[in-house]
Amino acid sequence: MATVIYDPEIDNTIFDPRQRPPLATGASSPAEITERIGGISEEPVANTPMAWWISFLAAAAVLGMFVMLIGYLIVTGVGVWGNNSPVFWGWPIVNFVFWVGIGHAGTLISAILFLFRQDWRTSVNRFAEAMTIFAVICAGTFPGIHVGRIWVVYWLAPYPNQMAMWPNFRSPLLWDVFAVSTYFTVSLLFWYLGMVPDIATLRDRATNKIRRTVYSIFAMGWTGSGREWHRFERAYIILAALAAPLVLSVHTIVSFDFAVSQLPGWHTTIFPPYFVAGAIFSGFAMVLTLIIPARELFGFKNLVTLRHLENMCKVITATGTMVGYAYAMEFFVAWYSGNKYESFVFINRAFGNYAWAYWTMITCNVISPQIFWFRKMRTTPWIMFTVSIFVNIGMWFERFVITITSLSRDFLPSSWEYFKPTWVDAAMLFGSFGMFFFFFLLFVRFLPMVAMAEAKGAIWYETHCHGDHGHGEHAGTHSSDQQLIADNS
Amino acid sequence: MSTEHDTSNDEPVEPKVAGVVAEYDSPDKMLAAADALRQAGFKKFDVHSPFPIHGADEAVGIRQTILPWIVLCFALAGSATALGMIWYLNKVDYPFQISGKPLFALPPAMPITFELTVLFSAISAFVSVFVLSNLPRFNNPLLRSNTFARSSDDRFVVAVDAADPLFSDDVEAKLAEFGPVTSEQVLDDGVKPQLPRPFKILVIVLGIFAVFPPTLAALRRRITTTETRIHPVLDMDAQVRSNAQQPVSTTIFADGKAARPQVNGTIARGDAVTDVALATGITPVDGKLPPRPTGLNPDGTPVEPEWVTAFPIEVTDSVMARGKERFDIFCVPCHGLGGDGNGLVTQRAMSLGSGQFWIQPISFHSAGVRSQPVGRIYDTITNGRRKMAGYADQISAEDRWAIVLYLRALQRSRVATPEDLDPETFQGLRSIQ
Repeated sequence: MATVIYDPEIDNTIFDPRQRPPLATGASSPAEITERIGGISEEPVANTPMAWWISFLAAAAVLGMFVMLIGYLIVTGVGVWGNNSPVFWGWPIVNFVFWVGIGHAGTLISAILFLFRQDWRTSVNRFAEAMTIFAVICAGTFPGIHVGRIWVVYWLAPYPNQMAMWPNFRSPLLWDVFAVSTYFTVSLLFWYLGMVPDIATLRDRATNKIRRTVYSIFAMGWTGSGREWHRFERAYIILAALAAPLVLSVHTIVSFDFAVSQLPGWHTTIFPPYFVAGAIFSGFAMVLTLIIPARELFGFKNLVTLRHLENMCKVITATGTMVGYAYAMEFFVAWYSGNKYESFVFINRAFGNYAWAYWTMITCNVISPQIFWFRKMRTTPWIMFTVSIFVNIGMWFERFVITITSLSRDFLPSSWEYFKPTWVDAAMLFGSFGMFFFFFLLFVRFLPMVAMAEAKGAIWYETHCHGDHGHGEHAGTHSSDQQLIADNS
Repeated sequence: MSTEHDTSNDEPVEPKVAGVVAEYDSPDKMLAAADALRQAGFKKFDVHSPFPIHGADEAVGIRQTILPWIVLCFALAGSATALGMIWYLNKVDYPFQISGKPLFALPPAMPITFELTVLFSAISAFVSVFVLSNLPRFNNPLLRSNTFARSSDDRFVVAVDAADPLFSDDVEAKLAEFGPVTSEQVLDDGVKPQLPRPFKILVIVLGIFAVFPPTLAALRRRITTTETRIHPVLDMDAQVRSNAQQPVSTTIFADGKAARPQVNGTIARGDAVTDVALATGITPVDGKLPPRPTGLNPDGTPVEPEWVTAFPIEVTDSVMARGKERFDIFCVPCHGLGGDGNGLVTQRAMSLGSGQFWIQPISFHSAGVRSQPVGRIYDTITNGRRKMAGYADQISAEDRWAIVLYLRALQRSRVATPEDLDPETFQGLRSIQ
């Protein structure tokens, strides 16, 4: 090992090619990881932080409002929303794409970083996967209630029925049903499979009967045997390899909802990559929004270190710039196509009725992440948190701009209309955040927030084999993990 | 050894040794112990660790799992299911054209094929992890060992199953060679852990309630009833409406009328009158329809409008032929072929009720009708007269004039003289006689 030039315990964000920064700062033996992460869920109810209680009750109240609004919608009809000719896809679809986009970073962090052996993911992947699950639940709610007659929503599924009819498999909207439900299922399995060993840890530490029973059921009798781990690792890498293209496919298919239609502003081939970049962008921003307060509140800063946050900031800057490139390229294509309808739509976006939304989007998505070029900015948590909020807002507006501006200026000028949301639209968007945080707060309270087993393994092999490549009798089996441990390069 | 679990079974069974566990503080010691066991010929043993240990497979002698092959099979099954489903459902069973697209083609089938491939693979991978490892298993004696419990925390455990043929009392000593923190025998008292009593009661109660809906549904399927089916959601089956002869709902329209009056300043289709004489049979005044006169003449007859006396259409042979055809369709059933008021309907009605239910039409050849101007006859066809209904809805204005023309010809036929005919036709008629 090279001479220590800086103290990584204090700052592990400095890049020095001679020294690999540690995955975790401070003491992080297996026992300490168990204590720190497992301990959070084992705290008696009386010791729950007050901040958690306040957030949880607020989230539960907002969720209650959301449920009541859905009831109001079902009883009254979709007329309670601002959706009207020509903007039949209003906020519900904007909210759907917004949430599903957020849902993509979780599996991306888990799967793609896992395949690339980026071990720094172990501290944040569980957190991000949980975010995925809850974001996809929020996402699925909106098209579900947007169908109007929600009591026949099962018509979306191909099932033999008395009408002797089948769905149209050439429609992107049906692809969407398959894509989102597959994504939810696979994300859930991926999340749960990774969590089974950690639930087993909680089961073995449980001191009261209820906890022991519940965790026993969910741990399914896991004993951490060599045979179980062997199959687990096989299955996990297969799931990662399946989930990585799945992430790309799902947002591609979501973009097909727009791109396969023939509306100017939607009918473009750039949509799939542009949507995927946007999804990763918004998802990483949401991870930051969630994890920065959580690591403060529950005190696992030594596991989710500044370097983790810094890496995510870099991803945000990269994807934010990609999204900015896509915005510019849309303009170029509109001009280069020579199609006056296409050109009109884009000029209208930037300088028409909705210019305020367009420039909000540009400011939040393209300009704000650029401050992460400065090292100081991407290592100061409150600045990251602020930017992540901006990005969340900007990405919501991106979907708003795409959906509303194109629809409100369709082919028939006589039907042009300025879209106005109702209070129900706004309250439902707010309510979906209540649902998201309700589940999320339950998760941080009762389930292991950091993948303990993975973090233990990654840190163990990092600290016990550090700087000593290819040693010992088992070197051949873990050298691949060694090579790429969280390089900043 | 403590086996703290719910022992609701009153009779303790003789505990028997289920195996031996030894707890080490490093993976290397654990692997060395496992390696020694394997070389000694042990089969039923395993290493337990909080995270996957590199080299465990070789040390324990774990063979490559078939899991990836299972996943591959399910992946192929997923693709085949998706393609087969899309092809059969949209091409064979329920083909319908959308924008001229082919009923089945690979590109639009790809997204769902990909999704189902991933879905099948993921589920099979997930299930295989557990099924291949004989999980879930909730009554594992290992899980009741305190020594073993730390294997999910920070310790590395070797567990030897008593079912191994080489198992003996000195296994523990053998494991002790590698410097365990602690080791112990795992006892299996044969008691299976019981679920908590409230949970059991809850399951039973829920189970009983769960039986009701399917039972009721099954019963209803066997019973015939005259009652209407229960529709939880009526969709648009029951809507607010006005029924004939019923009080009218004021929730639909404020004035309580179901039939809507014509909107001011609008003209219904076909009501636009550009040629007053043609449309009404009344002579226009300044190109407009004069108001209909009211009151009675001194002789007690109603005051009549200024009827048109000349045909407002061009009179030709083809109009005459058209008039005859329309007359035969619309007029003959009551008025008769000759216009004498003795059509088949009239004959039948008169024979049934002797004029009690039916008023016999006036003969076209009566002096009153013969003296009517053409506009008056046209008005009769258009709006009806006495018991006769108007035919404006069924016969166009031009056709009504054509009928009037034919009717005039019929009237003339009764009072015609040979001079009215051209000589050739007259000679032809004579030869018939």
